Amino acid sequence: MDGIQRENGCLNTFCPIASVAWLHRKMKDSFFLIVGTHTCAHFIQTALDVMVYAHSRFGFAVLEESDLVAPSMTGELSSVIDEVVAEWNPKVIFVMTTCSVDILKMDLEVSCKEISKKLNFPVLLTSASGIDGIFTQGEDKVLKALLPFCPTVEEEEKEQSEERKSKWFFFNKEEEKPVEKPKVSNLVLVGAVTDGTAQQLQWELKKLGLDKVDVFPEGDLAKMPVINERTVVAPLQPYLNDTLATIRRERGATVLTTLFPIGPDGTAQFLKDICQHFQIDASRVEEREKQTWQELEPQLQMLRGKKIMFLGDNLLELPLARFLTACGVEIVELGTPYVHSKDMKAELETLLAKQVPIIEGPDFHLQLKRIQAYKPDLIVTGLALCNPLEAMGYRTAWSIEFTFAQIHGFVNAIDLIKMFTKPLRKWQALQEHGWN
Amino acid sequence: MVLKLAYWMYEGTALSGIARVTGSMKKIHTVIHGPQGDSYINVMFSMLERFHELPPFTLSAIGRREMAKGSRARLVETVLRVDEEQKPDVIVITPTCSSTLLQEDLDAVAHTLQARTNATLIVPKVNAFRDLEHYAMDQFLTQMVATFAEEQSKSERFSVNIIGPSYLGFHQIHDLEEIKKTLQDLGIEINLVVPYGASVEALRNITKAHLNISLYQEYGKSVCDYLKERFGMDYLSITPLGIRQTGRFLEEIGEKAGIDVHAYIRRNLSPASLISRCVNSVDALSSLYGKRAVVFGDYSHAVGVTYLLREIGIQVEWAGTYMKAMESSFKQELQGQAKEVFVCDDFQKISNKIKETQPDIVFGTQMERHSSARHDFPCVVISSPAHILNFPLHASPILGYSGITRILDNINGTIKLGLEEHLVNMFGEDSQEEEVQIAIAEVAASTEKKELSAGASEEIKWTPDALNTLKQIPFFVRGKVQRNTETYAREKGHKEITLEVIYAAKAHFEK
Repeated sequence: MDGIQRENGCLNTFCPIASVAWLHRKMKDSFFLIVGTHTCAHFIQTALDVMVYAHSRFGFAVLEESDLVAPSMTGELSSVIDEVVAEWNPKVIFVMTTCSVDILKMDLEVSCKEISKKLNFPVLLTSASGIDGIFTQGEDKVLKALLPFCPTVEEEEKEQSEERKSKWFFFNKEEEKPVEKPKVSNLVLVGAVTDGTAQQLQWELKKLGLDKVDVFPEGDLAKMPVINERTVVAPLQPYLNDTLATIRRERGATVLTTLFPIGPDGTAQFLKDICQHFQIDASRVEEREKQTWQELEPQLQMLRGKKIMFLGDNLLELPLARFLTACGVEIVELGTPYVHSKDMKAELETLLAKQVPIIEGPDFHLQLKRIQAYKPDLIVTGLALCNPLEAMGYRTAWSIEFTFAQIHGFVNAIDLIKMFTKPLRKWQALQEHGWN
Repeated sequence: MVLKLAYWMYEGTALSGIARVTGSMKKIHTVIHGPQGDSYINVMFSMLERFHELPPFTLSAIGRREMAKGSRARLVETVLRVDEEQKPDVIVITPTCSSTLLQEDLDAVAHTLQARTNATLIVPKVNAFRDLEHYAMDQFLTQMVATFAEEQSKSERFSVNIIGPSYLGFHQIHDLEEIKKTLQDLGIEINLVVPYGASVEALRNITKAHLNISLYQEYGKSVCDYLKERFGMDYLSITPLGIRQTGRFLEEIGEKAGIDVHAYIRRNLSPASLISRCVNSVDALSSLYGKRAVVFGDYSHAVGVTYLLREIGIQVEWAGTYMKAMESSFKQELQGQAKEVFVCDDFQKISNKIKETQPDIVFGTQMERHSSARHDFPCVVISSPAHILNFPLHASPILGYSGITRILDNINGTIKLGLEEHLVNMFGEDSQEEEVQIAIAEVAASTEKKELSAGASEEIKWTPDALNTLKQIPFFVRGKVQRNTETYAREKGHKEITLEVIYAAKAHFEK
């Protein structure tokens, strides 16, 4: 898309295995087995500080050198998985492969299928290679692996047809009455958000008249929503490109092109576009949006006219910057690792209409020079850079916090905006005590 | 390839070892040749060590394009740019676990590039896939010293090189301050500390010292061996942890320097000293004496702490280390000091062993702290793997006499003190946790009650949806949210708390 500059960088970000941090909490009775090197384990342990969960439902199958390169990894993988099963008794295991598996060109697909068959529960293969992905994209791979658990037919329809098959001799009479179910389309929100966030969005939609709103993924494999050609999919996260492409291709579902429900502006547009699709009245949305902006007013006063720069980290940069422009912030640079022009279309149009400079894969060394020129009031960036930038005299917000916080919808808008105002308030407070 | 299940790692990678060496030195920049995620090294320096400068590591990323077309072009470009922009004395080009698998010849790249850079290019002679943190540090430190050390005349006064202290070690910078103070008190000069704060220029002068002191046993000894063989430099390799080892450390330095250190030792251990007053206090009769401890950590700390515990009257049930390569010397060193001495790097096994032993106190790494918390044993952290809590702001050495006082303080802060223990044994516990438990039970009970009393008239009712949302809120704020929401509902005249009321109350209180 025009208007986007490209550089060859954005390297201070985490690799996709980092997504286990939230995915293993989201998926109930699951276990995430990362097949990789010592580095993978060391990274998760030291940089992500997930040692808060010392006894967690994830672990590492560490590749070790041996004289023989095994023709099949099934045996090796199987014995590691046996250990996991003995300790955790999971209902699903996600086998996440990493850079090394990529480099060694190891294919674990057959192994996973064989083990899955042997254990009689799903052992799902997902790639979390950092060769071509950043940390939030790990969620995309896991969601894609979960898609087969979304039925294509409504449970009732299926039950009825199965009952008919198995019990036809008992229900001869009822069999005579043909059951005509109206073929309605369902709405599925896609993204591994918390139950609380999903519930809020479902509540907003219920108020508008959409009673049945499904969410993908559910924490429970048995409860995954139906996705078929009548399904309307509304993405909640901007980095689910593979999942969405698969939904389009394999399920023939309609994926809405709209803003992400982040910030009152994005949430309003998101709800309006859903309403428009389902041909229901959306007039209530504007009122909710207005009301939410009013609640944000004290924070807005702090943000208006401020200059904010995104160095690029978690792929939430586009919706966050779009929200900030609606807050009256000047985005001096929107760096983001990757721009998916199809799934980001609505966000891009909004941002480009406001002439926000977007840089895909920004090069940090060039950004350092631009920081000095822009003198932003706040820089949103990853953990590797915050402290040094603070020491250079800039205020920073940790981008990873936006991944770990509940930021979707009207109700959470206040928490979202405070993540930008808090560093500014902290600075003000410290300045009053003589820090500068 | 063989797969091995692991939950946590005791030792870091070769990459982290190399980074600890280069990141601790001056005017050295490291180019990490690996995929995206390998730049996590930067986060360790900026977050754990709270770096106020950009950590001196630049990733030369291996992405899909480099996989297809080769990574050399990117590496060359990155090295040249680092050379031009950072102007370091040395650029270390290091592979990582995964890039090692590509089997590229980084030496050849460095060799041809050398003509185009001002900085000296060095490729660590380690196997980044196979080697672990400490072995890599040992090898790479030796490589660095061997590259730059030159024959120099000895300093006029007796001086030493301190080998070991580095960033991301366990309280190592604090140890360094303690050792500096001790040597200063004894009138011994420090020629150089390696790697912490050392520059290439300083490495050239390493041979000015009369003695090398290797503080930790995991790495550093190879440097000493090299300097002894090449330049005839004398060395000692003792970790001054605990009373006996600190004494031995001081005596040997004294002997080499021709200084009498006994007055200094006496001063620190006399009946008037803090250490002595604590260990000999009648309170310690029940708080320390005869307590059953278990010890686990790296080599230096597991050995040192085992000695110290014995010296203050604590019984060591077992002592273990994860430094598998040092198995025989570990067993030899601690023979007779603990009932069982072993080597193991499996976190789960250690966790189970602690549970089986039921010790009075655990001395371990951050991981044993977790295991101990799970089984409700008190734990003092004495070794890496570390956590941000092991990067304290106030002076907290492990080594030397100050180290002993700090460990004693930690023990006192962790276990029940003498009189306290008697009282608790006689009259039972009245802990805060109990109060927290009661508070949780109350919230749960009132939530349950609400659920049951859906028909009651005066109480504000919670709809099932709303109740569900309340239950999703973490227990430690649930009570507050419940009270706030009910207050808000009463003020607004709602008879029933719906999702709408919860969300409105949230907006009201967080504005």
